[in-house]
Amino acid sequence: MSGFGDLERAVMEVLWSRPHPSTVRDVADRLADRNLAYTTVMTVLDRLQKKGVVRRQRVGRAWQYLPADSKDAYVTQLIFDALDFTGDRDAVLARFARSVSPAEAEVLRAALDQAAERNEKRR
Amino acid sequence: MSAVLHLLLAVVLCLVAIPMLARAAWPARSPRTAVLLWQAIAVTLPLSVAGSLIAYGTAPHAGSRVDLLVAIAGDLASATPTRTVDAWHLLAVLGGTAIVVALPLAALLTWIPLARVRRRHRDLLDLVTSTDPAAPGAAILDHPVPVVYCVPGRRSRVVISTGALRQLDTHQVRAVLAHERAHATGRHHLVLLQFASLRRLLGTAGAQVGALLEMCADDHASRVAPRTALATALVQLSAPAPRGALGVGEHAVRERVTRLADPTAPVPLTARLLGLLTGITLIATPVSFAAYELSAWL
Repeated sequence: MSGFGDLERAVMEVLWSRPHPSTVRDVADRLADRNLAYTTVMTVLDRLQKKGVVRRQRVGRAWQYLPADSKDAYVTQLIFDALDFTGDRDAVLARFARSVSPAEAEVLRAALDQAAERNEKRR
Repeated sequence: MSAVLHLLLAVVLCLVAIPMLARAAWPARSPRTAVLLWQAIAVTLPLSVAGSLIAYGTAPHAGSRVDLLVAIAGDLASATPTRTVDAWHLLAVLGGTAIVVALPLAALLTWIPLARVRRRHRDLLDLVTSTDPAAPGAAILDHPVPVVYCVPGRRSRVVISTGALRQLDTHQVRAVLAHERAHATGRHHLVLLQFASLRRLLGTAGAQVGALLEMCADDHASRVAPRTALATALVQLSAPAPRGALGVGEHAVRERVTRLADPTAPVPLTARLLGLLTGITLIATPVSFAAYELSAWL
């Protein structure tokens, strides 16, 4: 894995750990032990924003950054991908009961409902 | 005209070989040879169809294709055309050319959405996964649902969830990770791409190639871990793999488990070589015609 990927993950961890939007300075301070230049942090945040995992908003003269979604939401999204969830929910759940235990199916069904609700709210 | 017959013969051979190969039992014993044969057919069949059309269309015209184009252009410009080429021959050439153009285009159109899903998936993976000495070389996804899969590509990722790590013992983990790495290093996704874009032409061959590639990866894994470890892991993890990714437990699970539990000897080397030679001979027909046709342009 590239050094850049490692840095992106570290910056995301900082954003996820903070309850409020962060400035570049906030992030750089939290990663002080890595001795990163201000511009490096800015570049990483810029890359993350282009990937759509970070949103930014202007407050006064500074940009503030916040995660587009929670870490759990991304993990759930990946698991959905990994189980080949498609738009067709019935087909998905039919196939899935065969391959996953009933308890796990229940957990996933709940997660699926939550994701659907989240998407509703966003609209 | 002999070129047309030769190419048509290649088409017929492919059409005879497809059901034979689909029904044969030996591919499970030597999956790599079978995959190579399928690939040879998947190249030969469409190219030979295209080639026979082009060979038919250009048969009346020996010599330079450039001169021919000049003559056709002259016909179009002249008030009293001499009709260098009649409609049927022209149509055959155009049809053949269309097939040659459509093949890479179909592959590209299949590829683009897959690559997009994979890139997005990999980007997210890199942000949320961690590593663990218990699963060397793999990205660990912290989730109770057991999944193991591979995101293929130049920057491939082998992924295992904490749920899967909890369910599997050391041997099983080593086996499933080796299986996934075999998909990545063997570029199995490119083989599948070839068959995905020819789905209509080759029918269920694509599904069979998918199962054979799983067996290839199983064979790789059984070199670094006991076969039984892989077989039991396979039964435990029968969750399907993501779209555009390759995973343990998608294709022909029962057949693979039987094969791992009760291994039969591979097809003898001479028979495998014979299979490879058959494949090369098949491909040679359209390739040599293409070389001939290209030389006519120079």
